[in-house]
Order: sequence, then C-alpha cells, then structure tokens
Amino acid sequence: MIEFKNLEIKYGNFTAIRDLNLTINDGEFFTFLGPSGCGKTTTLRALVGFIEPSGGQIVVDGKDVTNTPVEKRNIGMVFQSYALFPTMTVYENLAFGLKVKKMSPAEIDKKVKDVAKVIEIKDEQLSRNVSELSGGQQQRVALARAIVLEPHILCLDEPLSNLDAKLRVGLRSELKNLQKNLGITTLYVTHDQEEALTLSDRIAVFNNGFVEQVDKPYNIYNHSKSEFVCDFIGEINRLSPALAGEIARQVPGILAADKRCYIRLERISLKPREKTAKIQGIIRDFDYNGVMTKYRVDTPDCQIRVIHVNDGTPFMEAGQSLTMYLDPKDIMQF
Amino acid sequence: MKNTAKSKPVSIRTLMVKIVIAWAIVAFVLFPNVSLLGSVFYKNGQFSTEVFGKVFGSARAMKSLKNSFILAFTLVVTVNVVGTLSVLLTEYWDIKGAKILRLAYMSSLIYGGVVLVSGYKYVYGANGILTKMLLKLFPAMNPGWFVGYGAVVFVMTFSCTQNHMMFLKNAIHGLDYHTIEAAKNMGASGAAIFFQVVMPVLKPTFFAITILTFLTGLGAMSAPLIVGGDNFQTINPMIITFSKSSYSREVAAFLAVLLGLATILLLAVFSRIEKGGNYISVSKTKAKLKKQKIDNPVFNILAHIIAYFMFAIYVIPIILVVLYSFCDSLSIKTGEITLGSFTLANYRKLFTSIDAVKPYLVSIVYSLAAAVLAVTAAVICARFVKAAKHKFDIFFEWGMLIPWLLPSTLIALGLMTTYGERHAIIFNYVMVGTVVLMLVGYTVVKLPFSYRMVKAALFSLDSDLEEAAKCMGAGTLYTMIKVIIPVIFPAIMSVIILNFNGMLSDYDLSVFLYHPLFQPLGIVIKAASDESAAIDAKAMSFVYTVVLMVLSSIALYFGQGSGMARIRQWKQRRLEKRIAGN
Amino acid sequence: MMKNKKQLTALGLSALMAVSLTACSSGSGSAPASSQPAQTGAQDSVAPAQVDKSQRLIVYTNSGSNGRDAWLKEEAASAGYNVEVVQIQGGDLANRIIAEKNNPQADLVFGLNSIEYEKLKKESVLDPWEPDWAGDVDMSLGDPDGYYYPIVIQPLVNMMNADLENPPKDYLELLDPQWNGKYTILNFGGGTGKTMLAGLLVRFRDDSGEFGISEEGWETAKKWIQNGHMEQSGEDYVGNTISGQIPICEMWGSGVLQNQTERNYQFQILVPEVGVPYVTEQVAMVTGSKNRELAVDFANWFGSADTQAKWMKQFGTIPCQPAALDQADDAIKDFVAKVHPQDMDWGFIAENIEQWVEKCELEFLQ
Repeated sequence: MIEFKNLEIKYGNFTAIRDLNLTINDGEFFTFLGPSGCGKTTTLRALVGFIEPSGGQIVVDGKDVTNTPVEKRNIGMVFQSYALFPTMTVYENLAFGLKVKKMSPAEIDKKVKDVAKVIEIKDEQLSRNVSELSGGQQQRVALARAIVLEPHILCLDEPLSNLDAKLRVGLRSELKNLQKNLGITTLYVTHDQEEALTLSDRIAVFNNGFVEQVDKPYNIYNHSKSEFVCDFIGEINRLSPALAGEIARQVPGILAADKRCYIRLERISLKPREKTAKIQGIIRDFDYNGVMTKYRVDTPDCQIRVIHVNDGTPFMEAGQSLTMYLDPKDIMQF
Repeated sequence: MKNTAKSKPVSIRTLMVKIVIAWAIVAFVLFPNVSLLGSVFYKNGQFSTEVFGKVFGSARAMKSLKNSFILAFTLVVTVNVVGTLSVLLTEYWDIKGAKILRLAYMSSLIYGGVVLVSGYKYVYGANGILTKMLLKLFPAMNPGWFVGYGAVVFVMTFSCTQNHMMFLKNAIHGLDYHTIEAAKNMGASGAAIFFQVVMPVLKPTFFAITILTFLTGLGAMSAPLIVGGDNFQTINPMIITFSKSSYSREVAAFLAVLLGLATILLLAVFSRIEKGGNYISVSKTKAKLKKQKIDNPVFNILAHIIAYFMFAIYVIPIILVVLYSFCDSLSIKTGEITLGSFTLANYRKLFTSIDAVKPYLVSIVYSLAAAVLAVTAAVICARFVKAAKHKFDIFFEWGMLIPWLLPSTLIALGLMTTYGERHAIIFNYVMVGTVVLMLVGYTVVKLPFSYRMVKAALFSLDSDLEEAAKCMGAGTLYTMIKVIIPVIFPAIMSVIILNFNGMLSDYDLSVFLYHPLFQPLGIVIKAASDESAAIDAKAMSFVYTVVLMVLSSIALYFGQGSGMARIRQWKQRRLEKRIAGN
Repeated sequence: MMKNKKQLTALGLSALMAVSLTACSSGSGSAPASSQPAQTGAQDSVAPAQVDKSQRLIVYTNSGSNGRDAWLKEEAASAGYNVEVVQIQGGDLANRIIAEKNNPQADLVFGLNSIEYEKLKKESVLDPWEPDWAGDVDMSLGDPDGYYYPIVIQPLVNMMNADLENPPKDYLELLDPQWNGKYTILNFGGGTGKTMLAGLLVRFRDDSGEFGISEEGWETAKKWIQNGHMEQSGEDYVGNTISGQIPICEMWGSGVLQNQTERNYQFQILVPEVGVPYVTEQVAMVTGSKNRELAVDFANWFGSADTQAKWMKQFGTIPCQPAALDQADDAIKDFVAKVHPQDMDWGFIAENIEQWVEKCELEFLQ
C-alpha cells in the first residue's frame, strides 16, 4: 500500500504539489492523469525518490520512505525516454540492476532470459546494442529492465507516448495483461485519457498541483466531480443557461437552477425516450468514421455535438433538422 | 514527525571526496598562485603600485597588450569560420575525397608551436617556396610580405582549428538527421536548414570552442614571435621573459592579471549568454547523419575548390617539415635544398643510446598521468556542479577554471616558489625537487580545458539515464562508472588525447618543474634545438616534431577513431559468444 | 624536537607517496659542516684523501647541450665517476637552484656566468670551496670570495660580414644613422644579449644615475637599441650577416668558431678598444650537497688542464687553463688573439642587470 500524506513539493517559490493525500492499494493499476504541468510526474518522481518533498510523507507498506535514497526503495521505473543505457547491449541493460544486487552470473543470465521471454524480446536481440532497436522494441526493453528486478511497485511515466497509435494500442493491452499476471502495484502517468480509462483500476485526475478526483474509470467518466475532470476526461457539451432552462421546464425537479450543465455526446439520444427533454436543431456539419457519426447541431442558443451510432437508419446531411432527447439525469452539474 | 524534519543524509563518501578535491584545489590551484601574486605585489608589507606606472608607461607593453586583444577577437571570427568549414566540408557536405581532406585538416591536432609556424614560414616567408614562385611572376613584390597582423592571423587561424575537428565534429555526428529531413520536407533550403536547424543545436559546442579560441589568441606565443615582425608582437612572450627575472616578475604578474581579468569577463559573459538555453536533443530515436549534397552546381564546385585549397594550406607545411627533418641544418636555414641535402643522420642521432629513449618515456608517463588526472578531477567536479545542492558547490567550477586566468609559466613559478618552502597545507612537504611537482603542474594547467569540455558533455546528457540507474539500486559512484562515463566516454577520450598531445612536448611549464633525473621531452628538444648551442639545432627540431607527430597520431588513433572502434567490436563479439554459449 | 618532527613528517610523506628520491632534508640551508647525523654522505667518507666514487653526483649545467652532457658522463665514467649531467638553459638553471633551496638536488653546477653566480651567492645556495687548479687559472675571471672558479672563456663579440667596408671600431659608432638596421642585437632574455647590453651600460657607470647608469648611458642604450635590429625568433641571423642583409651580429665566441667552420666563412670581428665582455663559465658547489668531497674531487678532475683540453678539442671551447689552451688549434688561438677582455664589475652588473633589462624591454624596445 502506498500512501501520500499531506505531500507538498516546491520548486523554488513555485508549489508544484500542495497537500496531496492519496492511498494506492496493493496490486492496483493506478493512473495519474492530467495535462502537462499538473504535477502528476512530480508526484511520481517523489515516490521514486528523485524529488525531495518539502512537506508531508510518503509511506509504503507502513514504512515512511520520504527520505529513503532512490536506490534503496526498490521501485521499478519506466521513463518516457526509456533511458536505456546507450553504450550497453540489451542484455547488459537488463542485467544492470541484477549486477548491482551482486547476483551470480548464472542467476543473472537466467533472470534476463526469463524476463526476455515474458516481455517477448528475442534471444538474438539480446546481444544487439539498444540504439539498433525500433521504438517499440526499446519500450519492451525498458519495461523488462524495470520488472526484472521484481520491484514492489512499478512506475511508468508516459511510457507509450513515443510510439505510433497502433503500437500504442497493442502494447497497452499487453501491459494490462502483464500487470494482472504479475500482480504488481503499478503507477501510471499519462495525459491521454483514453489510455487512463482503458488501463486503470483507479484514476487520480491532477490539475494545477491538486488532485481533483480519485475514482474508478467509470465514475470518473460518468460522475465527474468537477468541471475540469469532466472536460478533461472526454468530450462534453456545455449547455447554455437558456437550453438548461428549457430542459428544466420540460422535465422539472431534477436540475439545480444555479449550476452549469454538461452532458456527454453519446448520452444524447436521437430516439424518443421517457422523461426526456425534446430539443430541436439543425445539422451544421458532421464527422463520419464508419462506426458512428458525430454531428454538430445548431440549436437556438448553443451548438451541441451528438453521436449517432451506425444503426442502419438513413444518413442525415448538413442542413437537415434534427430532434434530440436529453435525460436530465445524464446531465452533470457544477 | 521526526522523520519529516530530518534532511536527506549526505553520503559520507561524497563528503570525503568533496573535502579531498576542495583541498587539492586550494593547495595546488589557489594557494601557490595567490602567494606568488601576493609576494609580487606586496613588498615589505606594502602594496606596490610602481608596476602600474611601469606597464602603463611602456608604449611597447600597451601596444603588445592591444595586439593580443585584437588577435583574440580576430581569431574568434576566423578560427570559427575556418574550423566550421573544415568540419562541414568533411562531415556534413558530400565532398569528394573527404577522408583525405579530414586527415589534412586534423594535422593541427598533431603538431604546433614553433615548428608549425616555421613550417608556414618555409612556405610563405621571405625564403619560402610560395614567395619564390611569386617572385618569379612578380619580381617587384616584397619578399618579406608574410609578416605582421595578417601573417599571424593566417597561421593561427589554420593552426587553431583542432577543437573544431575534435568537438564540433562529435557534435555534428550527434545531430538528429530526422530534424534535417523534417526541415527539408517543410521546403527549407540548404542554407535555411544549416542556419536554423543545425547551428542552434551546435550552439553549446560553439560557445566552448569560442572561449578556447579567444584564450588561445590572448596567449599567442610562437606565431607573433616568428611572423609578427616589428609591428605585431603580443603580450605573452613579454610575460614569459619577465617572469623569469625575479626583479621583473611583478611586471609579468601584472600583465598576466590584466589578461586574467579579461578572461574572467569573457567567462562571465559567456556563462550569461549560455544560460539562455542549451539545446538537448529531444528525439528518442535519433537518425544517423547523412552527408548533404550541395544541389547548386556552382556552390558545389566552389565548395570543392575551397576544400582542396584548404587542404593545400594544411598539407604543404607538414610536407616541408617532414622533408626538412631529413635535411642538414644549413639547407634548412638557407632554404636551398638539393638532392645532396638529404640525410638520415638526424634520425640516427635520436637513438644514439638507450638514454635517448628515456625522455620519451618520462613525457609519455607524465602527460598521460596528468591528462587522466585532470579529466578525472574534471568529471568529479562537473558532477558536483551538476548535482549542486549547496551554493558552495560552484566553488568547484571556479576552482577548475582558475588556471585559465594565468599563463602556465606563472602557474609553474607559483608552484615552484611556494612549494620550495614548507607549508602546512601540504603537510610541510617540500615538493620542489621531487617527481610529484611536475605532475601537479601538468595536471593543474589542464584542469580548465578538461573541465569545460567534460562539463559540456555531462550537461548535455539525458538525466533520465542516471535516474534509471538509481532506481535499479545503483549508487552514485556505480552509476557514474557504469552508466555516465561510458556514455560521455568519447568526449572524455578526446579531452585526454588533447591533454596528452598538449603536454607531450611542453617546455614552458616543465622547465621549472621537472625532476633533474627525469627530463621530459620538451627539455631535451629545447636543448637539441637551441640554436645558441647546437649546430644542427634546426634539423633536430624538425626531427623531434616528426617524432611527436607520430606519437600524437598514435594517441589520436587509439583515442578517437578506428582504435576505439576496434576495441568496441571486440567487446561486442565477446558478448555475442557468451550469450550464444549459454 | 621541532626539526625531528618535521623530518618525520617529511619522511613519512615521501614514503607514503613513494616518490621522493631524497627523503632526507635538514630543513635549513646550512653548510655541510653543520649538518646533522641524519644526513648521509658526511660520515660516509672515511678519509679526506679517499672519496667513494661510486656515489652518484648530480651535475647541473647550462653548457651540456649538443651532446656535451653525454660526452661528459662517459668521460667521467672512465675516470671512475658516476655522474648524472642535467642540462638546463641558462636563466632557468639559476631559478631552479634557488627554488630547490630546501630540497637541493644538485651537487655542483658549472657553465653559468658570473652574473648568475652572483645571484646564487646572494640567495646563499652556494658554498665556498677551492679546486686544486685554482692557482693555474686567471683568478681575476673568478670570484674573489672563493665561491666559483673559471673553466671556460666565452668572449662575446660582434661578428661582421667579411666584405663589410669601413667596419665600425666601437659599439658607439653603431649609433650612427648609417648603421640603421644593420646590426642584430640578440634577445635580452638570452645570456649573450643580456651581457652585451651590460657591457655597453657599464661604460656609463654613475652611481647617482638611474640603476647606477648615467643619463648619457641610457640615451646611448636607447639609440643603440632603436637604431639596430632586434633578433626575431626563428630568423637566420648568421645567414643575414653572411649575405650582408644585416652585416653585423652579436655572437658568443664558440658560436663564431662553429659558424665559421659550418658555413666555411671567415667573419670580421669587431673588438672595441675597451675590450669585449668575457663571459666565463664557472664551476661552483651547491649548498646542501651530500657528497661534497666527491663533488670537489670531480671538479678538480673536470677543471684540470687535461680534461679541459679534451673538452676543448671535442666542442671548440676556449679553456681558462693555459696548459689546455696551448693545445688549441689555430682557429681558436687566432680568435683568442684578436680579443681582449673588457673590465667589468660583475657584482655591480649582477645587482642591476634585471633592472636594466626591464627598463630596456619596457621603454626602449619598440
């Protein structure tokens, strides 16, 4: 179990993290999500030990590690840049930490080959220099290098950000499987909300040095606690006060009058439903990707985006008028 | 709660190393120089101001001082232009015969000083081959045309490009070729790519080289002496002459302090500008540089012409030096060489007895030891400065750079006069007359250069590497040895080689510091090539130069190019075998 | 007590560093007579007449180049001495001996001229002694106080192009505009240049003048320097003399002889009536030597007419030993016959030469 207690981190006069409190359970895949500069990487680096917090504590398995040197923490880390040692071969990179632990060559050899098998690094690649590998392969080596030491905790700092989209999706699921198989507590830093939603058991959304919300992906997405979270985690419609008023008029008693209203694109229905407000609009334009179409619809007060899954109904063109059904229960208010 | 109050424990080992290095800086860099300057300026307990009048009243001193600055500023421009051109012509643009061009351009790495300037004089001087040819075409021209400011600048411009050939070359090879491709893809012209994409990345290297060039200009010695003529003498020869006379030492020290102040100013200005940003490559998958074709045929031909013109400038003096080393002294002096002038006698003299080999060994051992020591100290200090936790850590930077502020003659004098007496700071050990003295001297003068270059390499290193090693459990020392040093090893090797080659034939420093039974090469060469003593002095100085060229080339081979590659290949094969065997 | 402690530290440190060759040092520049029991050497000599020649002597000289050092080493070895000859350039040699005051390396030093020896005397790094050949040589060339003794004479002259018509008879004539740029003055950093300057200045000695030289003297020196051509590094001044480009050039005696042989040329020699500076190479004992008696024994051998004659035949030097000079070939005898020494007060020169040089370098040189 990892606990951040009243953590505060300062760079000179700038406070990067203030009063952070978080608990991460054993075996959990936990993601720090947020825009760049929000403090997510800083927190991770404090956990690993690269940054000295100016206040608060970091407790791992009941032990205060706030002042423990990096090399004594037994936390595996995968860097955004991979940080592979360019002068060494793949084999030497993997064996580095084991050598530090003064294991016998035979033991090292076994462990390196085992981990190579798990991470799917081919034998002939082991003697190659890391600079000769492709990005995806380098990523594998970086991951293998971190887990070969069997750390308590695995930290990954934007590990997939340098890879192309397809490779990223493939590695993502591999990573998830690997984590489940190893059962290792994993902290994952990303600014990609899709990555966070797919991979995580829980997500902490960072903003400006604060954690805005900690929850399961489902709740983060559907029950965002703040305007920032709901906006950051996925696409959303912000309803104008006049439109919100119209919805409240049609289905009274659910929306609070003095708060702003947000609704996810896919929660707006194009088919009539019970207890929904009916809103008319005209299609301005659309993005079509086969599976679904995203329409931008002009209503008298504001523009609304809505997603229509390809269900066989006739395709609608720009300029056509459209009726949308909004359930006030799907509306998030802040 | 007591845990949160506790500050991060400082490792005992780090502290010990810091104390030892700080002591060494104080004992060997600060104390001797401060006490020398003190003894020079404080006479009978009073600060002597007489020297101000002496120096400022001397038209010659003021003119020489001015010339030194003019030379330094000129060289910053010309050396950068020629040096950059040499690197671009051999490494960046696709020029035919780049390999042979590179060899010629690198010649400034293997010889220098008096002999190099003499080499140029034998081409352009009054008896030079070019002048003789020109005289046939234009009988009216002045045979002594190669004299003064222009001549000094010309010689020094072509002889001071070694830092470009070493460090700029490395930097160019470190470029990410993708950035060039990207710029091309966006329609950038060759010139735009060069100035807007390539140059900014090379900026830190240019800064470092520019500082070195400026200092070389300020400290110019052989070129102004030999081709400066009456009108372009510089200050360093004066400093050296005066520093040898105990009465005039204050003049030398004062002039040196003036140069030192200029150097401080320069370093301060540069570190200010440098703060503006160092560019570290952000790409994760660097692509190897491919040579650029010059598309414009006119420019392409022009580039080839320039390349081979420079080739000639570099190569002809060397050829002459090698040829002359086989000639008798009189032919060299008069410049009239016939077939009968050639002889092997000069070389035979080199190895008359087993004793003749000893100076080589002495110089090789001292230079190598000092080169390695200086680089080691530089690595440690650069590391302290990079991981600075305390304001005091900047002391290590200044400590390393101080020897730049004084000419090596004064540094040697400082060591010699200070440690001829007993001082508590080195435990009352009288260092004069022992073999350590010269090692200390050699090391001290090589500190600033080593530090500057190692720092550039260390600071451009991705800090993730160090952190990655740490979180795999490696301590600071282990990380340094196994991860950081291997990565910056090419830079370290370059510095060691340049240090080694620079000290191999040193005279200015050695003459004060060597142990009488261990004469270094510089002393022997000086004795053999001292015209007031030896008949065949001229020839011998060429012979020794050729020998030094060979030694330096061997060092270069092992340190830079193929030698290192061989070792790496061998290592790789061994590993492959091991993995396959398991 | 203090001394012992210091010695212990010194010993310990040198042992630790495993580098020091001479671990013992008394810590004072005292003469061997007052040396302590810890010092070796003094008690090694059994009888004054019998010295242990197997002990190694370290000889410093500025006159060891051109193979002289190796020759001397071999010759000494055949006479039973074990010497290490260390060749160090003139100005640097004196500086070194002074610097090594507290850890002297050399046993004796030869080759330096009186100016340098006076400097060393003042720094008390020399001991008085007497060679057995002191009576044979012209002691007016040596030190009246008995610190250094002459072995080789080096008259410093101006040599001239053989065809130069109406050659000047005195240096003062050179100030005339007709000789503008026609004579090479050697660098004041070197021994010859320095001594020639001194030779000119002492003719205007005036103890009330600046640095002991009269106003007129300084004016003369200024004109002499500015009317002449200062040696430039790397130029062939001998060649220039022969070609007539700069037909007059300062030169040391053996240099004249050497160049005449090498270039097969006969120079005219400019000898003013007042004479020319005779630089005399001398031999002296370094304070703190552990092998004093052996060193003196070696100096007796080296300065003997026999050895000096061999030295002369090998290297063309002009010995102070009349018996050695008798064996000289005609060229040397010829040259010696042409010149005669200028009367110079070396003590006075040694005291002031550095000031003179500095003044000329700063104010007169252009």
